[in-house]
Amino acid sequence: MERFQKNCFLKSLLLIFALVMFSASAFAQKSVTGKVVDEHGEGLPGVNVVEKGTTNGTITDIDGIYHLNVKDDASIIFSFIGYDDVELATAGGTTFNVTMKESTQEIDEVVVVGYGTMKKSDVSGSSITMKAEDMEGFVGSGVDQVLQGKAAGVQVTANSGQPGGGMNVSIRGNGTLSLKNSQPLYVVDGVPIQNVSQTGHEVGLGDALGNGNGTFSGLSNLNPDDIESMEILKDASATAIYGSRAANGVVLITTKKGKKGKANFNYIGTYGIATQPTKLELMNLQEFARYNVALYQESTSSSQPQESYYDYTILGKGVDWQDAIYRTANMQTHQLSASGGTDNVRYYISAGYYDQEGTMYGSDYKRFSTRVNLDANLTPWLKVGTNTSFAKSEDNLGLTNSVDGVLSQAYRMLPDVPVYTIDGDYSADSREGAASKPNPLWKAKNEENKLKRYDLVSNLWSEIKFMEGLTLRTEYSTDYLWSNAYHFEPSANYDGYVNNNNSIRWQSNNSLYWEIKNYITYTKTFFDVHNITAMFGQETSKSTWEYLAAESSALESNDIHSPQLGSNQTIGSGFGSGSRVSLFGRFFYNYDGKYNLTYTYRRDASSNFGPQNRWGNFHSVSASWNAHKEEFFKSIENIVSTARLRIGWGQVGNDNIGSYKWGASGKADFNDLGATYQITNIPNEFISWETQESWNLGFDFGFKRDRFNLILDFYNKTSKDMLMEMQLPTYMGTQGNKSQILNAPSGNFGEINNKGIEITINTVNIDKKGLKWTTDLSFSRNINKLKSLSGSGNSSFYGHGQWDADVVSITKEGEALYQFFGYNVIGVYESMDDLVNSPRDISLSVGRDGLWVGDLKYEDVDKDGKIDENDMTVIGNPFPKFTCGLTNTVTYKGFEFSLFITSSYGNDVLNYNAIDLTAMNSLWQNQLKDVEDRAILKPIDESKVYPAEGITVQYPVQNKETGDITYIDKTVSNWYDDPTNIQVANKGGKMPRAITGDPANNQRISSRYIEDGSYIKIKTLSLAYNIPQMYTKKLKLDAVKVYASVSNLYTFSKYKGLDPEIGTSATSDYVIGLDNGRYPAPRIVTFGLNVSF
Amino acid sequence: MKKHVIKIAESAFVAAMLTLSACEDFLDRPTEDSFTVSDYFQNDEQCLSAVNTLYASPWNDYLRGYLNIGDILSGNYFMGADDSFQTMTVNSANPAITQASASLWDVIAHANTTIQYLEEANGSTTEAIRNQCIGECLVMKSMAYFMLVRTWGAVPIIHKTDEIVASGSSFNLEKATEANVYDYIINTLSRAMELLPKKIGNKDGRIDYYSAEGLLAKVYLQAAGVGGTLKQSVLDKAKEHAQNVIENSGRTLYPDYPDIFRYTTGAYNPEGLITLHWKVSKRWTINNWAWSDWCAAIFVGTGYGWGEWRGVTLDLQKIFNVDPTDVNSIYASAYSYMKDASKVRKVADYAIQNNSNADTRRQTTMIMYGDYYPLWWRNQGGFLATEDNAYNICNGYAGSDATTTVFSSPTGAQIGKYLFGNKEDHFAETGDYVDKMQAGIHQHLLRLSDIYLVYTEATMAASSSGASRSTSDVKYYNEVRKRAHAEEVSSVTLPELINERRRELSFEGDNWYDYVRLADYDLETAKSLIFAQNRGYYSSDLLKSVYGVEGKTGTPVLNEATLDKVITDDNGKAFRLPFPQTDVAANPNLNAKDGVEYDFSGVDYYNPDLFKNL
Repeated sequence: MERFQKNCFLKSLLLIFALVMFSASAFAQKSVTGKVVDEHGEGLPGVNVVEKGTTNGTITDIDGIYHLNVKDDASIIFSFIGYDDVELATAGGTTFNVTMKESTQEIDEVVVVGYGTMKKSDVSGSSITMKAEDMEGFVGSGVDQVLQGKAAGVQVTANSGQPGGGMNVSIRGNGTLSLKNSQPLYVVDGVPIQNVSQTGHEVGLGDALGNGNGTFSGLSNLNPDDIESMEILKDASATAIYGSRAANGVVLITTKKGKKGKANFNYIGTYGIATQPTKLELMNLQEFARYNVALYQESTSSSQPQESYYDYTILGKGVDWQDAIYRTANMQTHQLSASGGTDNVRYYISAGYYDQEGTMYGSDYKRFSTRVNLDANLTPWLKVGTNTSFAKSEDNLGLTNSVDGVLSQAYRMLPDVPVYTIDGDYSADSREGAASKPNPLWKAKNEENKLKRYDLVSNLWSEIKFMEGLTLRTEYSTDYLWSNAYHFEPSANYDGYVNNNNSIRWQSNNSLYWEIKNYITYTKTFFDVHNITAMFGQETSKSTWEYLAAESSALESNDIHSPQLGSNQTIGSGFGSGSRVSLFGRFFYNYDGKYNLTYTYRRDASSNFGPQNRWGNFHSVSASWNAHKEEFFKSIENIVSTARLRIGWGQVGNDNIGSYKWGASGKADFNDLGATYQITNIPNEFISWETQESWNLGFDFGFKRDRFNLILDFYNKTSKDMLMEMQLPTYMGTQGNKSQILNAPSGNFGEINNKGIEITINTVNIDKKGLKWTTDLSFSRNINKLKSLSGSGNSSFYGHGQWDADVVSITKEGEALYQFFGYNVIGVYESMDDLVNSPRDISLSVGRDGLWVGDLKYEDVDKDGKIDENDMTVIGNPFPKFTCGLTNTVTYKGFEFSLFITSSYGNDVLNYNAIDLTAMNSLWQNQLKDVEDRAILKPIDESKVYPAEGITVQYPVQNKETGDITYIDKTVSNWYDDPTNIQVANKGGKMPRAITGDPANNQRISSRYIEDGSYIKIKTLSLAYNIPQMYTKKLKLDAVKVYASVSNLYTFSKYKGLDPEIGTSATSDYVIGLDNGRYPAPRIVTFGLNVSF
Repeated sequence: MKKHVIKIAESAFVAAMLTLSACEDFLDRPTEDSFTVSDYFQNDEQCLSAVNTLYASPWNDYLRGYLNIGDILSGNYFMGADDSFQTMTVNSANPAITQASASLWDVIAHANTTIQYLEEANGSTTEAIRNQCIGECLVMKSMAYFMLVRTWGAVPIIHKTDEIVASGSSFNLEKATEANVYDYIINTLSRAMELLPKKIGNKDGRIDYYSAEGLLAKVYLQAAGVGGTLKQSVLDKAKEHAQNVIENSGRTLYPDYPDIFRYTTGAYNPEGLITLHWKVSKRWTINNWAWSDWCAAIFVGTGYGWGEWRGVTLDLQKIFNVDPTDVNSIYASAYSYMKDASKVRKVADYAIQNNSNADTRRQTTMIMYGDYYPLWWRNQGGFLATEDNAYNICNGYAGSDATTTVFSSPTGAQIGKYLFGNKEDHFAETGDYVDKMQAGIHQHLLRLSDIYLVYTEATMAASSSGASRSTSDVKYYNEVRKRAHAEEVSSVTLPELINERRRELSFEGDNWYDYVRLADYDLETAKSLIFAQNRGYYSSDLLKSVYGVEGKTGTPVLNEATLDKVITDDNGKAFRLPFPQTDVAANPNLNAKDGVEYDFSGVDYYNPDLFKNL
């Protein structure tokens, strides 16, 4: 090593000597000057002007003027980022005015490809780059939100509009059936992000967020303002280098780095006001009173409406509970960064603060983050550096989503319950015949679900350059995440609502992830045209986690939230670990910039699998042809500026199933007999990798000197042996409460195919006299299909709504994933004739407290004359036929205007929230105004008289085995019990009658709740102004930009719920597009300031 | 220079190889925070604790099933006029039946898996304990099957869970016929009797030989009429086994009926044959929460129960000779009651009367106006059911004005069985404080007095029709009655025996099956007994007019409700619940009406002489 250093030292000395000698040999000098302008004749400041072959140079001043002393016959080179270089000979002159043209050729930018970088034109796989500029004006806490609508093939939907809430990101469709395993791998400066999406259960909030609901994003620990660029790798030939973790795509994130030069300070600050743009159309007090009385009269209810409801006209509108729980919320963000460097050391340091209130009371998100990115050349052959970030965040999660959530409760609250009593205390809904209900606002403000997180991510690296083109890079990365989850349920006693028992749970989690990787890269060009890059490396990683939880109840007061102060104290704890070992390599060959060939290989082992099945191998090959560099293209260069063909094939995998499914686990506990040990799963020693194979065919075109760019990609990918838990029938003992069941074995089952097309169009529509208008369009269409479920024993997988017993989706062999499943409503039984002559549910008795006129009529799918479970069918598809993102940007003299629209077409939404809100089965719940369209019953013959002792009529009786109707004599004393004198008044509807108890089960999952979820959303509208330098200079500032933007401005949709953009359901692994009263996305008006100095 | 490169590359390569060679250890990561199953079952204690699980957790989701199926269908409990169990209109989509059945299947899966590992156990385990443990699993599994077959009729037989999962046949399983399921239970219990020890008494609360035999007697009795005609040979088996348990088990009827349902005296009671041992725990499924469904909101602590607007049926009250509108009938049937409805508000000021000849089961089973319970609310001098807001169950709405609310039970009676008082009472009994839906009160699945009644029913000749079956072999029958201070009789008919079973066993989740058993061989009599029940309620205030409470208004209006239909399963079979829809949708074979003959060749202990050839 010592000699190596000495050699290098000598070499460097020689080089310096040579330079000095060269300078010394300079002879006759002259001074040249001139003005550099752009195509519009405006002076260009800051252009580098260098004498060719020397270090002699200067830069242009604010008006574009330069002065430089050069040799008599020297050439000078003008260069400026974004413009083509200009070279001119100075022989015979001293004044040279230069017009620089904006580069038409894409600068051959360097992109990150995983364990290295490549020139963009060399990349054959399918990937998308997003730059910091593309994210400007973005409002939100996490990088996943940035991706929305911006990249073709990347579908991003919000799981919740809560501050800090998680997104569901799917790249080219769902690669695996189990949705919780289908998030992409995010790699920040080489370190994979842990815990991308976590549920309440995983951090210790249990069901406090609503039966497994409520996900929050691990990505929100990364400050988006620190990001320099993101690379979304979509096809397997691009992702294969990440092998076993790449099945759902990879997002490579590079954070900002310092550049040589003076310290550059940058401040970004925003202030925003968020409001709730939409509300559900619930009944007001008058409407509710009228409905309530009608419900009593129309049904067999034994409890009576309040007296005051009978004359609804004297009532007011009552309380709108949606207004009560929403607020106008503030948000602010601040970020200060400094960057710069010398020849040998470069730095970027930043500190950021993010503070967003939720539009629903009781929810907010705060984050403080810092980052240090350093790199230093210690010797000419040794570079070291670090990227280290620390983030501290605090989520007040509330109980927002799900059936028990504040929102759902507020919807159901009766409009005659005031928010506060006359004394100013909270009011509650307490009345006879129904359990007392708490005040949703009280719930929102007093129930605590808090999550604090501290995340330290650090990457230390060194790079040794053995010789030109041969380097060894070693990285040691750690991600240390502490989190504390707090749940507190207060005791209460107000207005008839009493909860004597408060309870508390506090869980402390910490997890440590580390990885070490070493890889050698060799780059060389032979005979000028043969370029090769070879990379070979090794990686080892380990993650450990542990938690300690304490809970108790009956604390003396609600003031101090410490488990130690309560009784029934319980401790919970757990710990575990996982590890991976990998080898990988990449070979790249390029011929003359025209032909590219890339081969990658990765071999991975994961501790998630048993000894026989640990190792997996993943290969990929891709090739591309830069046709525009061929001779024959020269002739049409002015029309077609870029033409590239890409083709790729690759394999990737998925090991994301959790540890030790290959063996049987048990949990130790106790009951009154003493210690217990419960076996918790059926093992599967054969469990192994899920593999995915995909093809990609892509075309990149640039027309008219790349003013019009078109990127087209076609893909076809097939996932095999998908990792999931078997879904066995109830009688196998694997269903029911998770704490008591024997979990079904996890294994490798089935096959999914996704194919699709992605189109990206970027155009410069106008570029004249300082006015520039550009348009970026991305279009994606994906078709998924479950090809088989081989090995699982099932021919279909079911997804559930809120509870296990309630089936809402089916994933069936040969069909699309997660389709909504239920009965197809074709109308209501409009008369008794209609009822007896149509297919019916024969398990029900005919009668007013059974199946009756006004009940829903379902399609008899199997045509067997009766309605039963065999008539459940596919009633909707949650996946869009296509999605689009459209960005228009207009800049003019420092102004920047941009409009960003996302849209989705053809997706269905299951409006699960509407089940209860149109149930019409209880006097004590408010309902959507839609129930006014319900089937109203009325007598056929209004004049028919019913004496007190009743009259005898022919009454239909259903044989529950055959469904045959026979008639018996029965005495009835009312038209609504009289089968011969009843009909639906408002014929043609699809909404059933109102009746307490819902005896005909009109609430079963049916097309009644399926709605078209297509939408066009004006996601962002922004206007920015760059204050001219003539003003900023006076303030000694380099640049000042002010802007205003509105996000979620408006959504065009037929959907009756709040927001048709609905992500996955955390309750069930096989459900997407189910709206169970989730937190809607707010509309945020933001004002921002961006200052460089 | 070159040499160095090679050297460094070499060392990197060596380092990589070293990592890889050590990596099999590095990659081997079974569960760390708990024993893996393969490390467990090493000694007798571990075997026993694996079986202990079956005495609580897997049964948890069935807690509501006991009430819904065992007691609401049978007419013991009024859940509200619209309740589908009340009106016998439960359909296959009802989540309650899915949940209940899932729980029973969980018991079976856990029993099967535990047996599988017990059979492979070695280490320092002893054969005696392994056998005992396997025997306990077999009895729990039989108990679950017994619940299933009586509730749903034909069901699939899951003999070995792992084999069925591995063979991939889970989704094509057929239902076994009801007779097959009974045959399977009888064989399984007989096998358990070969393995289980005979012990004296029930101090450890565990299953033993006599638990298995007691259950066997009851299963034989239930199976006797399967197929439509009562088989005398099967009844004889029931009688024989019942008698053996009564005479040889060393278990005895506990002198005080109420104490069977109280933790300190009841959990390890000499009368218990199969008992679940719940305990207060923050870990869900270890607690008993069944009481929350019938206990009034303020009885244990506000928010701990939601039993208002529900109550013990007028029909069950009637067979105890009590009428909520007749205060004197209440006093006469109570073993401990207040003398008069004076307006004194402090319990200690009441004069408490003791009624030595009242049937102790009435006041244990239900709480009515004026009943006094010295062991509940003992820190406040005992519990007295009155109109007084602070001290009674009659007012469901704590915090609101007592004078404006009505008697919270529309039938005038609430369930008292298995209630334990308030937090302090629960602590005094069990050493733990009760929490919301978390109590440590035990639960009997099979008691000795049940076997006494099984014996009695088995002595009724098979030849006569249901309504006229009777017996004069009433020695054990009278034992049950004597213990409860009820009069002795010289003979008993079947309908009267069914009522006696309701008096003795109501709210223990069993009474519905008495009607199921009868319906199997005499549907019409079973129907007529159900149709004769009064399932109605009072829709206005009982307090003012009956109990003379000041400030109360209204006169009680009786809403009489009787049934004209009994529940049928999806195939029209009466007295059976429809099979849960989720399973039928996944496995259409389950639509097969009566199931198919089960192939017993995989059951190595099968003996056709135990049932099939009888």
